[in-house]
Amino acid sequence: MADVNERGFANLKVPIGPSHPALEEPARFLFEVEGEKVVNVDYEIGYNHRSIERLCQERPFSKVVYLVERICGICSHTHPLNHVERVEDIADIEVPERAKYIRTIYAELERIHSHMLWAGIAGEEIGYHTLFMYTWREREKVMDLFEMLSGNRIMHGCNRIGGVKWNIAEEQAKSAMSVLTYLDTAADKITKAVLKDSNIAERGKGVGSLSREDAVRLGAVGPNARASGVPEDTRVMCKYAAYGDFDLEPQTAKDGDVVAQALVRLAEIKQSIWLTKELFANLPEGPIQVEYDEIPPGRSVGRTEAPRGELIHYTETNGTRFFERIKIRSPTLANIPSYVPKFLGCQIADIPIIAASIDPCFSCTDRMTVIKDGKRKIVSARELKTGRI
Amino acid sequence: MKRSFEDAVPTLEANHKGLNSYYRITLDNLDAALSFLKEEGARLSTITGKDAREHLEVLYHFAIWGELHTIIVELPYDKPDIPTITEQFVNALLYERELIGLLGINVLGIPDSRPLELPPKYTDPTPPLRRV
Repeated sequence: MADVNERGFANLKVPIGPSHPALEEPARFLFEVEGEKVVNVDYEIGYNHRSIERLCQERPFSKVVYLVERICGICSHTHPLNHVERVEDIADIEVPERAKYIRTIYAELERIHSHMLWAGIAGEEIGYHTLFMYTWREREKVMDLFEMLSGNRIMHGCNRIGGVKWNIAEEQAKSAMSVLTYLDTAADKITKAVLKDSNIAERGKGVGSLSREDAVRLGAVGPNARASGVPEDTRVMCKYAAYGDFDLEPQTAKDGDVVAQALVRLAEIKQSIWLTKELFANLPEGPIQVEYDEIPPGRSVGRTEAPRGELIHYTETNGTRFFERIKIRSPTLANIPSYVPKFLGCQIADIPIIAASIDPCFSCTDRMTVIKDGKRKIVSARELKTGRI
Repeated sequence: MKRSFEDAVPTLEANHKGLNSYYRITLDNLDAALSFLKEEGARLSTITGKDAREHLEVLYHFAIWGELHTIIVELPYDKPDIPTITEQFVNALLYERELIGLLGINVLGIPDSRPLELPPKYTDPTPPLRRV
């Protein structure tokens, strides 16, 4: 029986999810509500659990790059980027400058399309479908750009240990520059459409707020933390890939609500477009990969700034062709605890936009072992290819 | 980090490379290490559990701006007990729940001990990331 509140009524428990809990990914929320007000929340993840960490330990080095690329469809560059940087750190492989720039170009294009995707979904959650159509139309330009550069819209297969696989020709750089100039104007229009709209201000101002103290205490990362005024951006702090060559300012806001989340991400779209143009303009000449002999035993832990925030990979090698341990912590897992202060006291109608506001990605969050009929199962390459798991 | 970790906490082994530092300590010194890192303004980035064949290892990764400091604690197979650190670092809860489910580590005093990713009906006695 549900607990009785101070007015003598039992609080209702409203389950949302695991299927499509305001997102196209599985997670289960259990809200305890008093009238329209949320008074308690519990969450359950793990519905997208796939065995990636274990599989990484059972595949030779060369195959693991492709496996980590498939952790998430949106962060399909930042996962392998972090992974290859860990191996290069262990083996002291010096990556050519041109490869570092190409890696950074892909990472920034990924951020642009991911933030545009978020802006569209956020618009849809509050019933502003025009914004969804508008941002996703512009996002297509970035996807086309990816296709032109790598041959693929989602799985770019760009990273390899010691460099990158795809070079960038002069004509490709020229076409990319004109697309980026177009996107710059489009980003201005989207920003204006979002920030000048009184409906968005009313639906987002003060909704799903997260104080700076809570963001620090709960270990929030990425745009979610920056929207609360925490100026932490891994690109600035760690200066990996080619980020050390450019002066970047972390984009922050104060209130930590839905509007602040939008402010940070829209500013980052503009910043990423500027940075990508700089990268194309200053692309160094030279090789794009170096060869390596063998990977010695060692360990490396490092971070990259995924579109959703700090992504951390811990990699350990043991001198064989196989990894001793690979641990991946996606930004969404770090941001999940901040759901609690965001949801408490909110109205039921605001649950979808608050759930979407941190830009969660449960594909990244639920990785590792496949469980079937209560038993552990290691997935073979054939099963992965045919999908008969 | 303004002060030296090795000077403040008894350390069995310390390695530094670039922005990364690794400190191997005994379980008895975990509290002192956490207090030191809290004072230095560290943020818990994540916790890694590892089956190192002869023993289990728990690695706490702390971020201080661009630096990452990793505290390594060894646990014996026959008594994989470790105290929760949620009192000092609240966000450790999800990472500790991962340790429980995927490596079968007993996190003592944890406020919520449900395994994070595993289904409620998971009955295999061997945790998924154990080697045996």
